[in-house]
Parts: sequence; C-alpha cells; structure tokens
Amino acid sequence: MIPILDDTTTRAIELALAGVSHRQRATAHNVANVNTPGFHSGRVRFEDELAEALRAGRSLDDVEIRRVAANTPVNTRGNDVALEEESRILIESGIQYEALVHALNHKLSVIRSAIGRA
Amino acid sequence: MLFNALDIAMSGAQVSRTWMDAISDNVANANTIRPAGEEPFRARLVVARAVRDADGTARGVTVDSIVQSQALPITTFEPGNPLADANGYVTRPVVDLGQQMTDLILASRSYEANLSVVDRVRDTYLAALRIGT
Repeated sequence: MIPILDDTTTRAIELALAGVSHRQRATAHNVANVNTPGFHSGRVRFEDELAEALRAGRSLDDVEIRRVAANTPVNTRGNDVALEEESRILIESGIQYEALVHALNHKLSVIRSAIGRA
Repeated sequence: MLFNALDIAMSGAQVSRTWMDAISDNVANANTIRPAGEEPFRARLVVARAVRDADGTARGVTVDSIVQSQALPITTFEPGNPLADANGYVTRPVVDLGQQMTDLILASRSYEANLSVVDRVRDTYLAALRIGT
C-alpha cells in the first residue's frame, strides 16, 4: 500500500495540531493554578523548531514539543500566572487550531480529487 | 487525553468552589462566639496544589488540605455576656472579614476564568470534529 497521508504537509499539520492542543492544555493548567501559591506557569514551544526542520528539509520525527517556563513577573504569593496573557494564548491557539483543520481538510480534498472523488 | 484540557479547567473551577464554600462558612460564623474555655471558631483556609504526573503531564490543581487560621483571637470586655469568662472577657471568632471578602472576589473570578477556558477549549474540540469533512 502506498502511504497517501505520509507526506510532509500532512505530517507538519498533524504535528502542529498536537502542539497547539498541548498548548491549550498547558494554558488550562496555568489558569487552573491562578491562585496556587508558588506556582510557575509554563509555555509550549514547537513552531520555531518545526519551521527550521521544514526549511532545512530535515525529518519531522525529531521536532519536539517543548514545555518552557513563562518567566512572567511573580506576585506576592510567588505565583506568576498572567491571566490576560493566558486568555490571549487560548484565543490565539483556538484560531490557529481552526486554521490547521482547514488546511488539513484542503489537503484531503486535493487527494480526493486526485482519486476522482471530488 | 482528548478532553484533558476540559478536565484541567474543571479541576480549577472545583478548587475555586471549595474555596468559596469555605469562605461562606467563615463569613457565616464571623460572629459566632463560643462559651469561655472553648476553642473559638477559626476561619478555614483552603490550600491549593498544582498536579502534574510523573512524566510531566499537566493535570490542573487540587485541594491539598484545609487548615484553620492560627491567628490570635480578639477578646472583648463584655461582662454582661453569658458566654464571658470569669473576668468578663468574650473571645471573638478568628475571622478576618476583609480578608474573606477579598478572597471571595479572587475565588469567584478564578471560577469564571476556568469556565471561560472550558468555552474556548470546546471550540477547539468542535474544530477537531470537522477534520475530514
């Protein structure tokens, strides 16, 4: 069998979908801990590495979805969750996710027309 | 895994609600005076703790414990009060109303914040259902 959905575009979109939903979970975790003393919020990074791998033509297998510290200013309870920033990230990743789904569906429709089922 | 973000947001809402329950109990007892010699009513404080699996997966937040305020109670001189001690002093409950009210604002705002996360995350899951359609 010829793997029809194993091309770079589909793999990149899949990876980005995983990365964005990972980011939403991280954001939900940050918001849930908005009043937890000593809590430090995290961010999810993968876009730079994905773009670099795509540009260099490297395998996407090595692209890692990383969790890094947000390093926002700490309040008196030792907590660094910036609620407005988390809100922005949630909205942004929601739109990003929709755009990725759109791109994936477009890719699938191209394959459909190639097999004569447009 | 799929609905994990919803679980995380709900854990946050749940901790906020436990906090609000504790606050309402504290405020309801802000004037409860116990007879002389008995331990006065002490405000209950909810201790939150972030939850993470061993592999680093985010799991939200949980109530670690509920502790009693260890602040010193205020005593007032009310010789006519039947609950006063031999010297006429009444021990007031250990509830800082100002603190309770600010905590209540924090708790209800964080409840709302978690519910708005549920809203946003739901949109994403709906988008995921449109893959291939």
